[in-house]
Amino acid sequence: MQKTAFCSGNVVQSSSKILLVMKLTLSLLIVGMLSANARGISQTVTFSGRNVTLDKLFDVIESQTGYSIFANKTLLQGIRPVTVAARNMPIRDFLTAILKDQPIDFVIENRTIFIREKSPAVAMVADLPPPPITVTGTVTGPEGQPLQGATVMIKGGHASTSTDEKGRFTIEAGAGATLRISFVGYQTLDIPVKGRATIDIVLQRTLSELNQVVVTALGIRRQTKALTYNVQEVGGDEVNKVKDANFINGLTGKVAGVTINSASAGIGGSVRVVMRGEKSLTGNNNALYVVDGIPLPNLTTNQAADIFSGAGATGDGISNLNPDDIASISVLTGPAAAALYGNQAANGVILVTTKKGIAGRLSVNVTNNTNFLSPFVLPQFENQYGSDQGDFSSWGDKLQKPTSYDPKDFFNTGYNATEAIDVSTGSDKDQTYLSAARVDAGGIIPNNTLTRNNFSIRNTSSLLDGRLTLDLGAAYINVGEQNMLSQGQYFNPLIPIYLFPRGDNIEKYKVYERYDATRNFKTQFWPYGDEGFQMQNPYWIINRDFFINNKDRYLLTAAAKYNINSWINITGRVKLDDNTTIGEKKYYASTAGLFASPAGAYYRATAITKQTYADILVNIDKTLTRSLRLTANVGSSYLDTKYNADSYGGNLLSVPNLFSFTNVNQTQATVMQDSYHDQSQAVFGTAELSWRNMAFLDLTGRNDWSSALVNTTASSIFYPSVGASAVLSDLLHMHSQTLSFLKVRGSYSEVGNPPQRFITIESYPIQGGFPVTSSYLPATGLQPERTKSTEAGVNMKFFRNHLSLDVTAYQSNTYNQLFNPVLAPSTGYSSFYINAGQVTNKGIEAALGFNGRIARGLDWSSTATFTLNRNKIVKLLTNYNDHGTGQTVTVDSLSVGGTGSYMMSLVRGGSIGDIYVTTLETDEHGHIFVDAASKTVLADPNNTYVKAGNANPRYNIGFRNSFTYRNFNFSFLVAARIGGVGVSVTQAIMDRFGVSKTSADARNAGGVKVNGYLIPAQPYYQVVGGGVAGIGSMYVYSATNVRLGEASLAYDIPASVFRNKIQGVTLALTGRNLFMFYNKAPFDPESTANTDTYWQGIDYFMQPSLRSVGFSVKVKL
Amino acid sequence: MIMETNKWKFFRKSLLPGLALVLCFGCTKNFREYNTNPNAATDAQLQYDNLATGVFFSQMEQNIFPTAQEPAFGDEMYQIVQNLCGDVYSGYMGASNNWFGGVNSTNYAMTPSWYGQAFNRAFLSVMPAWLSIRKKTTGNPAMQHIYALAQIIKVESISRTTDMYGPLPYTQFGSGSLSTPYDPQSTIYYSFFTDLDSAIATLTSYVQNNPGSMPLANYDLIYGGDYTKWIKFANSLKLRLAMRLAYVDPAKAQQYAEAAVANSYGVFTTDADDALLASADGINIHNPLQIICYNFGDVRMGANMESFLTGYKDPRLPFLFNPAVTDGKYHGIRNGITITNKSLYTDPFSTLNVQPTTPIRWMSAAEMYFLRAEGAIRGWNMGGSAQSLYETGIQTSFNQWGAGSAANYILDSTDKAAPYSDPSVNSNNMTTGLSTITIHWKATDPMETQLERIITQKWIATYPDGQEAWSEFRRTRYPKIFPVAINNSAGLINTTTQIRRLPFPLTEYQSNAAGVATGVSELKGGDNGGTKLWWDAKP
Repeated sequence: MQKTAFCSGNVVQSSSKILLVMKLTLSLLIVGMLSANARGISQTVTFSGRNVTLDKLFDVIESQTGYSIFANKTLLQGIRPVTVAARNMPIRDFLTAILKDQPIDFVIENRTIFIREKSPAVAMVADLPPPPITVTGTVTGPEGQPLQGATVMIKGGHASTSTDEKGRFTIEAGAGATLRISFVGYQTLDIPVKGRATIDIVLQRTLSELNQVVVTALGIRRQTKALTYNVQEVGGDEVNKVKDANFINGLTGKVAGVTINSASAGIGGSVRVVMRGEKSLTGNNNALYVVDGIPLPNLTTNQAADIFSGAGATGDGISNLNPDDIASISVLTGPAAAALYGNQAANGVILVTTKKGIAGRLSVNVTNNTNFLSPFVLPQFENQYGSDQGDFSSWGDKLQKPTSYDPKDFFNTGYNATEAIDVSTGSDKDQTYLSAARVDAGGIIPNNTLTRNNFSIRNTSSLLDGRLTLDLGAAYINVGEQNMLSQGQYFNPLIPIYLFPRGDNIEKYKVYERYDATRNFKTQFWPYGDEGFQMQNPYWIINRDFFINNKDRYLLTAAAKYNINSWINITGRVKLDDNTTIGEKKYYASTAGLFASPAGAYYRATAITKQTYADILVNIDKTLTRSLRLTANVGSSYLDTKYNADSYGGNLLSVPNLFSFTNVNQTQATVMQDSYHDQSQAVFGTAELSWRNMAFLDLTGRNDWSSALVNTTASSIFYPSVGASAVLSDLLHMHSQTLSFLKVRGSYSEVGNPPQRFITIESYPIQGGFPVTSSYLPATGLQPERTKSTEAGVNMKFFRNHLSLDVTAYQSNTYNQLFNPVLAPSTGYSSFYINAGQVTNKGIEAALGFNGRIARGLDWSSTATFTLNRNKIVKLLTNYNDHGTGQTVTVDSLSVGGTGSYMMSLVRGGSIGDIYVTTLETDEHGHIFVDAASKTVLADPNNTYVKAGNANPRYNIGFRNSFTYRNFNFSFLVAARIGGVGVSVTQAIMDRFGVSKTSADARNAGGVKVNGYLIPAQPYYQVVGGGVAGIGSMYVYSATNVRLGEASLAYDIPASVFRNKIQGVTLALTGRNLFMFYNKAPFDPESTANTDTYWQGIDYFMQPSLRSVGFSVKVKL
Repeated sequence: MIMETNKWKFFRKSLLPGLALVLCFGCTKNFREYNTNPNAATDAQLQYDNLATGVFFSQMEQNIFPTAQEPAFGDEMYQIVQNLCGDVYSGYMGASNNWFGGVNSTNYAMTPSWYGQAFNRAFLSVMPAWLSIRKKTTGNPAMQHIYALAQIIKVESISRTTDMYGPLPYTQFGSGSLSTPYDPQSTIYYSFFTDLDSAIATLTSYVQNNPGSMPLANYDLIYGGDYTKWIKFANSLKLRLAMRLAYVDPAKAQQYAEAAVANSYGVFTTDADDALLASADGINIHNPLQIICYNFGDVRMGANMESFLTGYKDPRLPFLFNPAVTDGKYHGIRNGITITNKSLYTDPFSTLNVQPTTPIRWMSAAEMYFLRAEGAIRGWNMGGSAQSLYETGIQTSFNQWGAGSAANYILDSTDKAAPYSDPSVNSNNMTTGLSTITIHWKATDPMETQLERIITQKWIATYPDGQEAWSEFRRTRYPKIFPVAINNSAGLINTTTQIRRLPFPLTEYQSNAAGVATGVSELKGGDNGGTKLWWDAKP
């Protein structure tokens, strides 16, 4: 290796400027997508060349190793070309060689090479002190603006000066001396004089931890430092470390301020994501998903909210995405940034950034993830007592030897296999990313399957000398779901399986159909009848009653960015999202008569959602004065959603099991059509004023014209927000060994929500071809719902950024809530819509992080998240004056559904999610009343409900750890939820039928001790487990639980092992929901049948949550 | 460069127009259209073809005996409102399923999600439709005939509802108040007669002035808009309701009953007069009993029906029920039993002889003859002797079922109700407390015996409308219906006197607490199934 002469300078190389800008951008993207598993450098580089530029060499390194190079462009200014000859040289050695004697060095982290200024200790020192010379020059910022007041000093010396208003300076320096230039808000730069008399210096803005930039609303990239609200970023790799068919599950425990519950529908089910508490009494409370700056349509469907439904569940829209396409996820828990998205974002936003092509060599990743699934938490069953002949309940005699029947045997080992490939290729000006993925999964309930195919292509290109950037993308998604079950009575095989009489033999029923001579085909065998629970033979249900959903989704995206000049550009985006879901139900002949005629039944529903989003955005980044910089975006957006659903179906008329409309009994068929067309148009603007890159003021405003506002008091809604932040560590020069960074921030925002569509214009539903009266009182004079939020936070970093702490406290007040109280039927309406109701939320979200080397070769990174929210219903309907009658109405409590024994109720002064339950009759002391003569307990004859608690956690803690040693990475996540309750009807019904372990224990103990009396087990449990759902108060369980949520062990096989034929292989063992450290409930409290606001904290024969154990192989070609 | 040119073309041709779209501000003129439900009718559309007055008749008519209303499981409504209530309490039918572990309203553990539904049907489906018609017709003398018909159908609906609950938020319904007070049942009943008299007068005048005119022909599912038949219906309903007052207000009962019979149109006299709800005018009426019995497998013949019809060797039996699959004999289920296994109570018992197309009978001519017979033994002028009216009633019922001549049946003076045995669970058998009433009329019998005879035959004739039969059982104590085998009411309902009413719905306690309190105060006892209604006054 031959060194060339050192030459310092500051000549901006315009030819490489574009390349560098792009590289910077790409590098930022790469940061999020790189495997976090790699550590220890053993990849090698082979290259020979004379006078090669560093840019070229960096390309070589990137393409040969797959590592990404992250370089601040000013650092590369004036770096000389080098001559190098290397063969299979380890990357670290190669870098050391090419950077030797250059003013920069490097650091490698997670497959990313960060190029940084050489640390002072190894900076160039002159051999001999040459005679002093007068050095003059200018100091400018990256945009060329002169910096007044910058300090220029001789390193290690005493002389110093500062720049004038033109940024000029003059200083006496030894020819071999080094100048140190510093300016508040900019990175300090050391420049060796090397005998020159004129040195112009460009300073880069200080960025805490190497240019941390996050994606915020509308896809705008912002410095973390400048944010006035809390944004948490999670890399794609982190989310996918333990893969789930719905990647949102991978966020559990990793972000603060968010409560995530996965649906009990098994693989690919929906996920409930509530940020900073539930705000709306009647509206949606789930977070908005935004992909690459554009909101996704809400494709959630009606879900189980009663004791019957739950069969034929389906996944939500976000579960369609290919997790491998995700570069990073930003979570905006508060509504501050969300003010830019309008009402949709009042509940917080999950911003997903997808991958793009990367310039350089063709890069191909092939991954396989295979997980095996088993039930995580099951109730405890008994096997000691049998059942009397013909009786379905198991209150018979004690068996000679315990039955071998175990409901657990019903479950399959589920599997979830994902194969994914992605290809990235491109030149400086044109990059392409292609990906394909296939998911094949089988649930723990036999015959429950999920398949998914994802294809995507994305092309990014730079045109017109880099003034125009085009980003075009297309994706196709196909999802097939069969027999997804969340809970409920209908078509739930778990009810007959759990309750199966222990004196009978399940093997008899595995042959679920038998030849029927009169019908000449096989019909269901299930002599037990439905037992009032719509029970059927469980094996019949899974083999002969089908719920099949097929989804086709196309997404087309086009974005263009045109740079008008150095500080203003214009961006336009269009996205079409077209989703068609076809849902079919096929019930075979001899399915229970409630669902089908003797010939069977067939239903088919089609739902088409088409969303068009377009926006145009003018982006301004202008330095106004030396210390004041304005970043602003002004734009407008258009969102148009068309939904059309229709269904037809009914009992089959003549030919058994011919599932066709032609065979449906036309006179009994149900026909449905439902459609809407929503449109909103908005103008919005943001302005961020930055003072010396240390203090920031952030203003946003959006005005929304929404079609749902027709006939309300408002024709549009304005959402303002204001925020401020200050980097105190820079402002007050607080940097020390202990404190690396300190920022305080605060923001205030208002978000509005138009009323539900259609309700402001009276209409008469059509039933069977004839109009009928409306079920709600026509809504007049409605106002948009408003949420006012404030948040304040602090971001701190300690010990050279090794330790970080982010804390945010917030409160929100949602008032003028669109409220839909139930009217007495005697009014002729079942409900009415008015603005009333007020809900406040306040809470704390915090994240504590550590990142550093804790022992020789052992790196530890750890994040603990803390989430606390307190919700309060301030008022429901207070002194509402009815215009028609002049009557004043007050509603202080409102039932929002339940089972009869469990009820969710909104009560003034209470919280959303409060659970009320029925009780046993009590005596005058409040003890359970026992009839002394009959030794029985009784249900409370007055049907009074008592409050059992709230379904929401008091707080959540997530503790994520990652240890890296050489090529090994071990990581795990412990998730804890403290507080909250849930009611298990499953346990109640099992007790009543004598199949629970508790019922056997009670029999063994001679009965149940209540209020001093020993009550025989059977009569006791037939009361407390009786009715449709038992006595609620006897089945309330603490929802507190602590689990080993995720664990993975990964090993990187370096490319050298494969003689560089392939670029590397990562093998990993992964697991999710591995172990419960603490859980007192007979179900998984984090599992929910319903991802909406209500019907929470209730287990009505929910499908158990899944424990998954598996492996992944990732090959980089 | 070719590639770039193509992209530029794409940009110009596709992207720019897209962006231009975004700039299209103030294009909100379509918003009203977007925010109007495209699958529902607007007020303006309801003005076409007089829909605003017409269509609500079919809504009212379909909700008195609830037929399919909701997608998928509409028959459950009929099951809850009618079948698991009056049909079982009257002894007509027996429930063969074991809902809520076999502890439910059928054995007096009153199930809130069941007993509130009849109230909701009346006030959320019938009354709003009536109110819409009233609003459209008020102040328009030319439309009073339409309102008159709505009034008749309303009385039919609410009379059935008040006979379940007693006091109702009725006379002040639709005042716009969000909380409606309840009326005592006496007020409700007396208003029925006023409303019916007024409707009869209006329709009579309309028919006389516009002979042959049938303005509601397209919407009336019962009589195709034939007002003369509706006048007859109104008289018949008036007779039925008048008889309900026989013990509580005998003078008014006689007055209204005699007026009904004496009206120039009179009451029903032949089967052709019967009020039947059946498919018509594009509306499919599928008899819910067929679904409940055959698809759900939730109902079978009642034990009392088995006892009377087999005991009397009644020729109507095969027209009402089918022999059991297992032994080819007729078996009924006793009400108020505990069912541990549904299959024990399906195949061994008799299904109902009902087809999907079997019309739902609101009221029959046979019932009128029995009402008149009862009036006659009370000494009222009913246009015939008690015996002839009784015997014509039986024959009219035979005609209705196509069961031939009742001549021999009428003469049977020996056969009595048969002892009952449950083929599945012997403990449900009934050998004592059986009815001893015979068929043949004896003028020398005491009035009470004659009453039992009339009501027992009326009970057979009114099948399958268990709601009416249950009301008449409560009023007269006849026929002798077996008590529930298990009483889960915790002492609120007396096993011997049986259930007397339904509790007010829980929804009323939640959303109309002040109103329901006035209703409770009008009751003769607590708001439970053991409290007698106002007209339930037989000493």
